[in-house]
Amino acid sequence: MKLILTIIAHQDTDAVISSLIENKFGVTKVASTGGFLKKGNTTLLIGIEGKRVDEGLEIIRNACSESAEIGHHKATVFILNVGSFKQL
Amino acid sequence: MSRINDYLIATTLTTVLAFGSYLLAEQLHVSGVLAVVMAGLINGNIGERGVSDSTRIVILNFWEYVAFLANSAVFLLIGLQIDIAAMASTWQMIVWAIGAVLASRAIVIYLFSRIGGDLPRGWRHILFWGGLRGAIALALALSLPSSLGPEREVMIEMAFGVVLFSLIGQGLTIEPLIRRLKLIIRSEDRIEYERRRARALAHRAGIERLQGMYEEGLLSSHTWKSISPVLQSRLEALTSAVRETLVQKPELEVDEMIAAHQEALRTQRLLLTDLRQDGVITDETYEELVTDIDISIDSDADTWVHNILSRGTQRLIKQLILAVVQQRDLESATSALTMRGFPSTLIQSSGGFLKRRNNILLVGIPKGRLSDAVDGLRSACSGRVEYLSAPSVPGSISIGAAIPIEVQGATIFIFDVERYEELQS
Repeated sequence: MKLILTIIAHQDTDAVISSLIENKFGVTKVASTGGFLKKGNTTLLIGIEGKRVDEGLEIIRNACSESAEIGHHKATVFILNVGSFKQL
Repeated sequence: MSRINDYLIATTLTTVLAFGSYLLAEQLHVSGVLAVVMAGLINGNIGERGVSDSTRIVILNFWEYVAFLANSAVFLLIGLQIDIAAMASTWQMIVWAIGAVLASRAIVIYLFSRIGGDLPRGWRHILFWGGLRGAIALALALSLPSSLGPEREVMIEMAFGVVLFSLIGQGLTIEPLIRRLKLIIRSEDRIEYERRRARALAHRAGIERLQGMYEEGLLSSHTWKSISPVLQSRLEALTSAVRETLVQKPELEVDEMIAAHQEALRTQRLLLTDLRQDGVITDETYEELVTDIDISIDSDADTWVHNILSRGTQRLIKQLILAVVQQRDLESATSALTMRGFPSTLIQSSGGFLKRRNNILLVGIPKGRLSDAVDGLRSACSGRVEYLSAPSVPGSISIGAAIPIEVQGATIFIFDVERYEELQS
C-alpha cells in the first residue's frame, strides 16, 4: 500500500480529481499554499496499491493543463510507503 | 550622540573622543593607540544610533579626509627622517625585518587558518603575499620614545624598509601572482557576453540622449525622425545578439542569476544593519534575521537558481517533513526554509485540544540535508509558556485567573520518501 502525496496547481484540481475518480482512485483534497509566494495550490492524498502507482502518476500527468507557467513543473509528487492501511 | 544630531557638534565630539581618549590613556600609562581604537569601536557601533544619515555622512567624510591627511603626513615624515646612506648601512637588519614579517605571516596564514576551516590553497598564497604594510607600521615606529636612543633610528629604518618592500616588492607582484594561480577565470563566452551587453546598453543610452534633446527642442524634428528608425533597428539587432549568447550559453544566465541573488541578499543585510542602528529593530531580531540571510549567502546558490528555473536534473528527494507549526511562528519558519533552499507547502490546520490555529508544513528534503531543515525549523519555532484565561465556573469567585500552558515549538514527523517525481509537461 502506498500513499501518493501530490501538490498541483489550483486550476488543475477539478480535472485531476475527476479523472482519478473515473479510474477508481480514492482521493482526498486539501487546500494548501506555497511557502514562498503564498500562492494557493492543492494537495491531494491518494491511497493506492503499489502496482497502480505508475498508473496514478500517468493520470495526474495527463490531467494537468499544458498552460503551466514556463519553467515550472506541473506537479510535485511524493510517494510514501504505508505501514498499515485499514478502511472502516 | 543620538540626542545631538547636529553635524558640527557631532564631528567635534568625535574629534574630542579621539584625542581625549588618547591623552587620558597616556596619563594612565596604558596604550593610547588601543584606547583610541576602542573608543572608535564603541562610537561606531553604539554611539551613532539614531544619528541622521546626513550627519553620519558628514562625520564619515570628515574622518576620511583626516585619514588621508594623516596617511600622507606619515609618509612625508618618514621621507624627511630617513637617511638613505644610513639605510644602506643597516641593510642586513632590514632584510632580517622583512624575513621576520614574512615568516610570521606565513605561520598565521598556513598554520592557524587551518583551525577556522578550510581555505582553498590558492587563496592562502594570496593572503600570505597580500599582507601589505603601510602607514600603521610607520606610525607605530615613529611613536617610539626617543629615550631608546640609536635603537629607535634602527627600528624606524627597519619599518621603512619593510614598507618599501611591501609597496614595491609585494604590491607590484600580487597581480601576476593572482593570474598565475588562476584564481580569476574569465571565459571567452563571458567576455563576449559582456561585450555584447555593453554595446547594447551604450547604444540605448545614446538613443535616450537624442530623444531627450529632441523633446527639449535641441534637436530638429526632421533630423530626429530620419535617424531614430535607423538607431532603433540597430538597437534591436544588438539586443537580440545579447539574447542569442544567453540562449546558447545558459550557464551565463545562471551565473548572472546567482550574482543577482547574492547582491539582493547583501542589500537586505545592509538594510537590517541600518534598521538596527536606527533603533527600528532590536538586536535579537537583527541577529535572527541576519543568521538566515548569512545561511542563504553561504548555501549552495545552485539550489536557489534551480528552484527558480526548475531546469536540469530533478532533485533527489529522500525524505518528507511534516511539521506542525504554531500560527505565530509560520512566517519565520517558511522564510527560514526558503533561505536554506527548501521549497515548502503549507496547509492550515488547528490543534485538537485547544482548537488553536496552526499550520502543517510539507517539506521535501534532498539527500543529506535533513539536519539543515530541522535546524532551520528549530531556530524559527520556539516553545513557550502561554496563559489561557480559565473558564469561569458557576459559583466560584475566581475571575480571569490564568492557567499556564506549555506551547510546543513545532512537532516534526519525518517520513522516508520511496519515490519522488516532478511531473513535467
